[in-house]
Amino acid sequence: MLVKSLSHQQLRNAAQYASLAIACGPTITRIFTSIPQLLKDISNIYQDYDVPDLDTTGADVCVDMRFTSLLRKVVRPQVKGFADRPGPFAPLPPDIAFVGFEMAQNWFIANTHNRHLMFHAACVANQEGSAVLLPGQSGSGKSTLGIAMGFRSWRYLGDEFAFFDPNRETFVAMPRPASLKNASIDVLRDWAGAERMSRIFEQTPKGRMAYMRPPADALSNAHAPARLKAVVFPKYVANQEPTIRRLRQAEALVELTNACVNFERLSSTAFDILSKWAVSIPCFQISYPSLESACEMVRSIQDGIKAKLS
Amino acid sequence: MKIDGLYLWKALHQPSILADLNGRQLSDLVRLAWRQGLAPRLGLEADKAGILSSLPAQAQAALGDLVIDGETYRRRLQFETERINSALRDAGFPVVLLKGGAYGAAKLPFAAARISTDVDILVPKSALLACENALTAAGWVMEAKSEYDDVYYREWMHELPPMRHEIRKTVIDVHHTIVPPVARITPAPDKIIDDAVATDFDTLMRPNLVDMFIHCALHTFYDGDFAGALRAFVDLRDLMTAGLQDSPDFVDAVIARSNLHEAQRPVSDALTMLAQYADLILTDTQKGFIRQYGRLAPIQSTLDWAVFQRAFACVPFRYRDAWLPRFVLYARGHWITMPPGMLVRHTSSRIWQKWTGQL
Repeated sequence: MLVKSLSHQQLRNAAQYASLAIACGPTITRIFTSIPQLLKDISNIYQDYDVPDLDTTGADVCVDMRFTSLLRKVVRPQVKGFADRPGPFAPLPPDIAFVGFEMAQNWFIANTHNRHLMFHAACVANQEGSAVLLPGQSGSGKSTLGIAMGFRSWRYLGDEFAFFDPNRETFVAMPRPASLKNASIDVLRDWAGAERMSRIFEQTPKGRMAYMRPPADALSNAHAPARLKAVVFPKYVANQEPTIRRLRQAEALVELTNACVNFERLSSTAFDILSKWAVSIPCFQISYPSLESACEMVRSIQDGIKAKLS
Repeated sequence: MKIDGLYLWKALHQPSILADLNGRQLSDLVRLAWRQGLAPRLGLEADKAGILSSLPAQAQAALGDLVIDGETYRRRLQFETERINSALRDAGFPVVLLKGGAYGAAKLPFAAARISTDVDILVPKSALLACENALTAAGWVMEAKSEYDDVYYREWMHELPPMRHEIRKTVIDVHHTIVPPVARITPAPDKIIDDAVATDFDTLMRPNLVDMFIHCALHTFYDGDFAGALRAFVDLRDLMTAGLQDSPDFVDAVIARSNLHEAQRPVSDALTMLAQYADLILTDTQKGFIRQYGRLAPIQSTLDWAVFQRAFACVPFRYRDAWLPRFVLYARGHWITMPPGMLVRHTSSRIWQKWTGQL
C-alpha cells in the first residue's frame, strides 16, 4: 500500500498511535505525531512511498514530532522532534514541522545506522549500474546536483545519505525526497518542472526550503545494484568557469573519511574499505557554476573511466 | 503483551522471549531500551542468544545496528581508559577505576555493551591536587561554571568538578570518596583502594567485586530521584551474577563489608530488589539482616511502590515520568544526602544566583 492510498483520517489515526510506518530503501521509519500540518505534508511529499505493515516488518527508525507543551499547542504553537532520545532539535512553528521531521529522521539515521558504511553524500547511478558518489557538506550543492541528475539520464539513489553494503559491495538506494534550499528551489523548478515540488517552507533554520519528489524510476528501481566507479566532491561556485581536479590518494582518503558518517562505529571495516577506494576509485573535486556544467563534468568523468576500461 | 520496563528487564536476562514479539513490539522495546540507556545491551543479548535471524527484518536490522553500537562503546571506553592510564602513570598515588570503567577493566561480560558517558576514578583525598595537575597536564580542563560551583564541588561533594578533555571532549570524574562528605553515612574509600585489584592497565586498579556491588547499591539506592533506575538495577543484577560466579558466599561477603561502608541500608534495599525481581535466593540469616534495616511498614511500602514505578513501569511512548513517584524519591534523596541546614543554604544560594543572573 502506498501513502497516497491512505485517507487523511487513516493517516491521522495511524500516526497518533505511532503506527504509521513508511519504507524508504533500507529503512522503515515509524512516525508518532498528531500535528495536522505535518501529516498533510507527509501525505503529499511521501505519497509514492510504501506503507508496510508494522506488525510484520518492525521499524528501525522512530521519529516523533510533538508540541513542546500543552500551552504551546494553543498559544504561539511550537513543535519539536524527538527521536527515541532527545536530540539536538530546535523548536519550530507547526507550519514547518515537516522540515523538523526530516531533520530528526536524518539525525536518527546518522546516529544509529550501522549495517552499511554511510556517507554524507548524494548518490546517482547510470543505466549500467555505475554509481557516482557525491559527498559534500551542507551547502555544497550535493542535494541539488543529485536530484537534478536524477531527472536526466541517471538514477537517483539519495541526496543526504549513501549506503554501501560491505558484503555485496554495492550501494543501496534510499531515495528520499530531496531537500532544496533557497536559490536551488527555483533552479530545480526550471530544470524538472513544478509538478514534483512541494510547497515552500519559509523561515526554516536553513532558510527557505522545499522538497522534490524523486522521479518514478528512483523508487521502482531502488533495489538495482550500483557499483562505485567514481567519487566526485561537488562545490557550487557562482559566476566562474567550471573546474575539475583529480584528488591525490592521500587527499582522497582524508576526504572520504570526513564524508563517512559512521567511520568510528564501523572502525576497521570502514578503514579497510576507504583505503582500498583511495587507491582504486578515481576521486575528483569539481566546482560548477550551473547544473549543466556539473552534469557534463560527471559524464566526462564516467566516459573517461569507461574509455580506460575498454 | 505489554512492553514496559519490566519486560525489558526480563528480556535482558532471558532474550529468547524476544521471539514472542512481533515487529511493532520489538520496535517498542528498542525504543524503550534507548530511553533507558540499555539499547546496545539489548542488541548484545539478542545476538548472543542467536535469535536475531528469526526476528522480523527491520527489527533484526535495528538490533544488529545495536550490536555494533555496543562494540563502539566498548572500544571508546577502552581507549579512554588507556589515555587515563598513561596520564597518571608514575603519579605516585593509587588510582582506582569506578563504575563502567571498572566493569570494563574487570572484563565483566556485560561491560561490553554498556553506555558510559564519562569515566570515574577514585584517588586518596591527599592526592586530589596532584591528580588534578596530572590530568590538566595531559589535556583535561576543569569545567566548573562559576566560583560557587568550584567551591561547592570541592567543599561539599565527593568529587572534583568534572574535567573534560579539550580534544576528545570526554569527561573524567575524580572522586575522593563515594558519597558526598556531608551525607549521613561515611564509607571507607581508603579500604576500597587498599583492597583493590590490579588490571591490565598498569597504573589503574579496580575495586573488588564486593566493593563494586556496594558502590553500585549506594549509587542506586542512596541518592538522586532514581532517574535511570532500570539501568542501575541491571548493573546490580549483573554484578550479583558475576559475584556469585566468583564465590558462592558473595552475598554474605557483601553484607559483612556493608558495615565497613555504613551501607547496610542501601545494600539491604539492593538485596531485596534482587530477591524480588531477579530470583536471588536469600538465607534466613540474610533475610534477618534485611529485616534489621527495614523501615516502618507504610514508609517501606511507599518507597517500594515509587521505586517500582520509576524503574519498571516506564513505557516507550510516554514523555513525562509520573510525577508522584518521582517526587517521593527526589525528596527522599535530598533528605538523606544533605543535612536540612545545608539543604536550605544550598537552595537559597542557587535561588540568589538565579535572581542576580549569575547562573
